[in-house]
Amino acid sequence: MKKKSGGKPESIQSDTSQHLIELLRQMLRIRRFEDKCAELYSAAKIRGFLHLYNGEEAIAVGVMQAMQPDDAIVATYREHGQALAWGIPMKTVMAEMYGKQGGCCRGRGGSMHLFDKERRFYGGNAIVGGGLPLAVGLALADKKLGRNRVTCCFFGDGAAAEGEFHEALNLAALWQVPVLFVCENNQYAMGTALKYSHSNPNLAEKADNYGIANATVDGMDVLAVEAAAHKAVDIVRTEVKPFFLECITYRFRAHSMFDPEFYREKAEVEQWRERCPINTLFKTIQEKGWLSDTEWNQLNQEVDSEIAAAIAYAETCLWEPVEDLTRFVYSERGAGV
Amino acid sequence: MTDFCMPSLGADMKTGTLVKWHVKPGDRLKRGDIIADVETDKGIMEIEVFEDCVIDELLLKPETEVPVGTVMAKIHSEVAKKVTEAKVPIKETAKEKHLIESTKPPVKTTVTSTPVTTDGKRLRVSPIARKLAAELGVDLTQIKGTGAEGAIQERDVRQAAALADKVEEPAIERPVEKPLETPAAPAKLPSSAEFQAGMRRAIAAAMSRSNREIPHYYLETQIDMSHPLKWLEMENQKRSIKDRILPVVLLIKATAKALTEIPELNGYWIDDRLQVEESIHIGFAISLRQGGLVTPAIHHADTKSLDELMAVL
Amino acid sequence: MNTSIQEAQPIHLTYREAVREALREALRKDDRVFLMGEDVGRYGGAFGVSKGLLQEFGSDRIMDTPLCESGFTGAGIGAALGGMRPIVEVMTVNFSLLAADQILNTAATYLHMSGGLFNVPLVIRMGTGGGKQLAAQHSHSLEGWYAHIPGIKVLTPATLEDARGMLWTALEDPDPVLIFENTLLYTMEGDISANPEPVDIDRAKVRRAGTDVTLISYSASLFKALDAAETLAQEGIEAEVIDLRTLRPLDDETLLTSIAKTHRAVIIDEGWRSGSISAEISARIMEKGFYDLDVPVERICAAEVPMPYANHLEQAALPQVATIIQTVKRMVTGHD
Repeated sequence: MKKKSGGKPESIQSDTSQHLIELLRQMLRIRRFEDKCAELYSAAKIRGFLHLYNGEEAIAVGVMQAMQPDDAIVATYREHGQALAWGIPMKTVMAEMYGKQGGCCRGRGGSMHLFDKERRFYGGNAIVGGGLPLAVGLALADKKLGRNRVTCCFFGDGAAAEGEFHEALNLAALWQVPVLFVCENNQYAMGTALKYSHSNPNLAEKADNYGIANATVDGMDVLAVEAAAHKAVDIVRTEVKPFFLECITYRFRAHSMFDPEFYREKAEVEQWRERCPINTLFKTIQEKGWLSDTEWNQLNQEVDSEIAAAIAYAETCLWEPVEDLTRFVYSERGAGV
Repeated sequence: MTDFCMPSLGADMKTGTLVKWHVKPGDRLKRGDIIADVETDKGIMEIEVFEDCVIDELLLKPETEVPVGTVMAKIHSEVAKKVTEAKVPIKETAKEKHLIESTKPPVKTTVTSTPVTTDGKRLRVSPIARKLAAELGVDLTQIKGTGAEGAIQERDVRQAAALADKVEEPAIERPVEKPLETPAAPAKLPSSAEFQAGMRRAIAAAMSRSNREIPHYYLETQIDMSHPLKWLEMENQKRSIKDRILPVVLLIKATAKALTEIPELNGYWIDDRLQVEESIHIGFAISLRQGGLVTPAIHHADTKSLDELMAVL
Repeated sequence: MNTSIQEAQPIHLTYREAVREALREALRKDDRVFLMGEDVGRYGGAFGVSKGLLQEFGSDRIMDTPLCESGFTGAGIGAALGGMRPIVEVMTVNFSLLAADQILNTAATYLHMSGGLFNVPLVIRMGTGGGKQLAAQHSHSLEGWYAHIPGIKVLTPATLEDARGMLWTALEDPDPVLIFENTLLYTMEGDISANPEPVDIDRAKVRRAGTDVTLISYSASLFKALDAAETLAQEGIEAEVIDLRTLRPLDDETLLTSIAKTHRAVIIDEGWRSGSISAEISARIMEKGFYDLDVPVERICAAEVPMPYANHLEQAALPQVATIIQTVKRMVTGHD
């Protein structure tokens, strides 16, 4: 869960059992949620495109540990993990995917366009690379207005080939704005492997070319991601300049629901599954004797309960009336910044 | 026991073909395990179970194509579910089609026909001309259009209406009309040469008829206007430009006043007797800048003040 | 503010200077306002509009950007979401295509996708139009294209008063506003009030009253329509000339009221004819004003050809006064 504002002022990574179990819980919560979405999609409850985060949970959870509550998040169409880790209520996310009025965006956005104004979650973007310039602008505003905030921008290896990626990195470095660029390198841009996309597959090196401080981290290890994120966010916030954090990861499921995965070998998927971030952390916690079987079962139960409640909520939510179709094209009276 | 159905993997997936089962009855599966291979438009996809379960019965044979939602197998979960979520079968989502309006039975509508000429060709009439023709009771098939490719336009209908008035209606039906009256000025004045010609024709026709049918006699007198004109000059100096009165208003007023004193001049010879008109209406001829003449009638000129007459003018 | 008994003398200036004054006023009135775009600072603006502003307001308020339309337009959107009031200047509509994704998929769409949570209070100014022998890639008039998009507003100030007055109203709008300045207008001179009033950005204006035909236009073509009207008046044809002022929203009411009076309409639009804003206007007139029409609605648009370099060809491709006159006469008389 997103930290409340009473949390630690500077980013120190805790290594207590409580903290590790919390990380485990957050990742498990995302994993179960994503699995449930697959089931609901198969039952035609969720429609459109569905891009699931299985395997990448360590990145969303690890990075969010280093953020402050009034920081901003810009994400991609594969953003359920970020949304949940940042604290958007699960039931409003579920209702949004159902397309119901009780969804976080009244059902107007769907899976790929989750937004939350109070928590400064700026979407959810179906245009690969589309969020990067936006993040630069948000950070620019913070710098101009003298606000000590960080904008965290998630994107994938595919986006690193888009023109907007290069334009945004150049602007961020030129203007020295407080953006944390988090590249979730899961080795594939939909069905195109890294080596078929990039003349230089070392993505962090691209940041070098723009003079942006950068690091590469094992995206399957939540503790490593968290540590790297703390370091990176500290630099961004105190030195007011951009940072590029490349996280090497893998998505266990297909690109989206209707994807037969011709482009990758099952053996490769199995290999990466052995490095599942949840299993890895679970093992670490078990070895330290910090989690009994009962407690583990209870953890699972709580997660399942939350998901069930979210579904129940989504099921009973109303549809937005068709008469309201043309609302939210222009601001309504009293709306707006 | 619960149903395991053909999953929907995308909005455009309508059916799936079972290629092969990965299981047999009695097998235990964990959540996420693959239960079968299904062929779709996109290729062969592995489908999974979403809960820990035991296979009870396989209902579908390989190589069978079925619609999404069809029950493929019966399964049951051994562990009592701590939380039961409603397993809503896919069919139910169809109920949510209340969003789509129900189709109403078709209602027969009558198709109104458009007027055609005698040779069966469709008339070219502008929308406003058609509207006007209906209002004025003009027969479109009798009009020759002056628009592009013979289109009947507004001016054609107005002209036809005006001429129809002149030709068909005797004076008795229009007591207000003065003999010298030309066709009523149209609401706007299109200044094309064509319309000029049309107006001239109408004026000529009206005047010719007037002279033919109504005996004319002429009286003349001289009136010294210096006094009234001087009065007018002084009066106008007190007023702003837009409130000033033209000399002709004095003439109109004088004429109206005179008619109240000699009412016999304000009438018609109808049915072999003089019929005096109670209301006094004065026709005022105006020469148009672009050429042509209109004669609006100023009604009840005797009851109007000089200012009111000026305003009407 | 004290009002003098006598009205202050009107100011004589160019369209360019009027826009500059509008920028100056905005920068002074609201600290959140800043201008960003290519060559707006040190160069003084590609068309000289922002000349002197960098010196007056500093590089924090007047930001030169690299050549990355998508990047800096997206950054402008982000800055607007983050609480600033940026004015993004895209040098011309020709280069805006690189930013079209940000304009359509971010600026125009965020409010709706978020179910009303995030409005984007951004102003984007662009040069537009042809006629300077700049050839095919530098002569577009795509404001009609942008007017296709729900979620943004599209302004086309033609007069000095509008060039001066529309910017502030646009900045006050909570949603994205695109302002298209035809570059041929920058040198146009005239008078505006010393104390300009705010102007609306959702109504068309009748620039010349008439009775025989309604000429509908915007931006540089407006003046061609007015010229044509002058000539037509000498021949006894009184044209009513309407300045659209905004292409989105379109002011149907003003157009239809005029046509109810004149029964004839011509639209003059510098965009290519097919699928242009003139086609949209013509369709609306047909839908809502059909029964007031005496002749079909006419459109005078750019020829369907990429803009040629040679002057005589370019002029043949663009709407011309003579064409307007000829068209009106044909409509009024029924023949050429």
